Amino acid sequence: MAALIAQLLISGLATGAVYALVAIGFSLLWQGAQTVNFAQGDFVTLPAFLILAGTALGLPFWAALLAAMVLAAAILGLLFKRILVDPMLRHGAMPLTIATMALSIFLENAMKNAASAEAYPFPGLNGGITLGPLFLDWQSIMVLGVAVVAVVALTLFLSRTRTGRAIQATAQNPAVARLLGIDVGRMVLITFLINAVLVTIAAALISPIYLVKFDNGAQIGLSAFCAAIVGGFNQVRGAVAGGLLLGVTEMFAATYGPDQYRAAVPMVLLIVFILFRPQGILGRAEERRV
Amino acid sequence: MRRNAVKLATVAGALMIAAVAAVAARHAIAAASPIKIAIPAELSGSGASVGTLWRDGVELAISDLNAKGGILGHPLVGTVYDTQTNPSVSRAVILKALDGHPYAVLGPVYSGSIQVDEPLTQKARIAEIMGGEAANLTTMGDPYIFRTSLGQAQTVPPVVDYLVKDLHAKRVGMIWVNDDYGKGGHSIFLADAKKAGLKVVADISSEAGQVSFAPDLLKLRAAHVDAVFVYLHEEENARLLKGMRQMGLKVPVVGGTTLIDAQTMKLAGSDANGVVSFSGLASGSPLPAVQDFVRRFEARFHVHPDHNALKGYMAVWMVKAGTEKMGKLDAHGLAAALHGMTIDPKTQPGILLPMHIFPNGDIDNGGFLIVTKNNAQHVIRVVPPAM
Repeated sequence: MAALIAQLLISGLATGAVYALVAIGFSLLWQGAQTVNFAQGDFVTLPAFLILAGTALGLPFWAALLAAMVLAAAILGLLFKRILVDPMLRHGAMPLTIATMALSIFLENAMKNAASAEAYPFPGLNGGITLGPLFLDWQSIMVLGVAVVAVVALTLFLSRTRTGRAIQATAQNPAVARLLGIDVGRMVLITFLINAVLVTIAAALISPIYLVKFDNGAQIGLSAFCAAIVGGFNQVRGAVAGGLLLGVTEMFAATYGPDQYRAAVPMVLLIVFILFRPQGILGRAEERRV
Repeated sequence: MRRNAVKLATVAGALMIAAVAAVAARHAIAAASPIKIAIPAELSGSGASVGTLWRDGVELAISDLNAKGGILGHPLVGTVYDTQTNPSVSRAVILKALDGHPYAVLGPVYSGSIQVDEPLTQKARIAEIMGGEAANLTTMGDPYIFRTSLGQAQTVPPVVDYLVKDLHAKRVGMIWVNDDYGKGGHSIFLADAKKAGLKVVADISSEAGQVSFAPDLLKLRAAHVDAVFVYLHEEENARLLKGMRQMGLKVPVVGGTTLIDAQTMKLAGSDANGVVSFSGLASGSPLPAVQDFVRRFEARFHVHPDHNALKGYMAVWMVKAGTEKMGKLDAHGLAAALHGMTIDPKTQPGILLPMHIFPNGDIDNGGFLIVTKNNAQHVIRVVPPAM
């Protein structure tokens, strides 16, 4: 029993770590552009296809991953901001949010047209190590390890570097940041680029398990969105906490709860938090005058 | 000299007559009223890979038949509808298709969709030749529904037999998809396993399109099973098999037909090695007709066909066989013509295997107990048709 619980915890944390990476993107874009990016799930799927395209062209996996990261930064960072966010944002957050829904539909269909409706295998790690009654699979260990490194690196970047602090200042109050001489536009762009890098890492970690398919984004996006709200939408740390909590909850619910309702777990968790702790685990309560 | 000139003139004349006849025949086919075939299929949603192969199989058969003059001189024209792997959308597209007065409805593949659109084709008295395998599809007394492959009641027992006699399993786990396809396989397996003295110690349901099987596999590991019976769709099969490898879970895997098809093998790669199932159709069958189909399908669509493509292909040839039996185009009579029919591949080469159609729409064409190895199907045992 204890071994099963430990095993569930490890698997849950591994799944949750990926949710956390994607949820951080929700949080960053919310802070940078005051928008909820409903195409965030598809942002994870696109780099997975880019990595596969790179390997199909003969690149070694690491090179394909780097190339995908650069392309994702260009498409999901730079182009996304310039073509969609900048023109739409001046009309308010709601039109932009709706535009990201349209972008999600567009991306899904574009990927389907380009790569067909079929799923594609993605390289991953097999096997693992046995520690007493526990079996630790390499894939979960790698997912956890890479996710932890990515989150720690991002946290250090945001808190210890000049640019990171400027990004945080921009997120807190763009007008004041501008008065302080911060190039707000550049900081927002960097936020988008960070998101593109994070989703590429998430794509590389999750695709060996999920396979690569044009419509995978819906499930990942929904889980990460719930994780971001549960953790606290306005906090990167909150997104991490929310992702991990959701991953572990899903794992325990699927094991000990009725199988048929496992897909509802993220939404149930979301509803519970909205009712009893709307600011999330680590989020700040915000007030707005209307 | 004169004799040679006569010979030359005769040959030239014959050639001209043949050419004129060919052109006339082509014009005649073009002029003949087309046979409208409705092709509802899962082209998007979780069943997209399955439905796409079904559609391609149907379209290949339509091209083949049109190249040979169609059916009774009438060309076939297919119209494709996307059910989006959604039963309510499927019902809507069948309504739309029936509005166009098709000669036959070929599809869809997912049992859940078929269950809701079956009453519509029955009411319209149009034959629905579909790819579903759920046991209950042919038990509702619908005289217009036809399978293109064996149903679950025929494919599950040989696998249970293999578990008992070949693997000597006592404790088994089952992972199944909670839709009409999975529910049918689940109930048949439980009944057969009980009869065979197998103890089902882990009974795990999952959702269509489920992306992670980690909790299911942890449950399976905790149950200490001798083997696991898997009844999922292709992509979920691959995710499960990959998950088993990642978790180092080494138990024999047997299951439904989808477990051994091309799509599962392609996605799972070497993780699919050694899985066993029973199928009436297999693209890995050594039969020359099947291999010829595989070659031509790959040449046209650049993907490897699986049993869904074979089913779609044979569906069109079933229309041809039934129509030729009637000797006329009679959309409302097609179903009656097909009932009780035994179709010989010698006269209908696209049927690929001798096929008997039962009065309830089930078919029997024998089958193969298959193990997969290195991305190919290997026949362990051949089961001849019972007809």
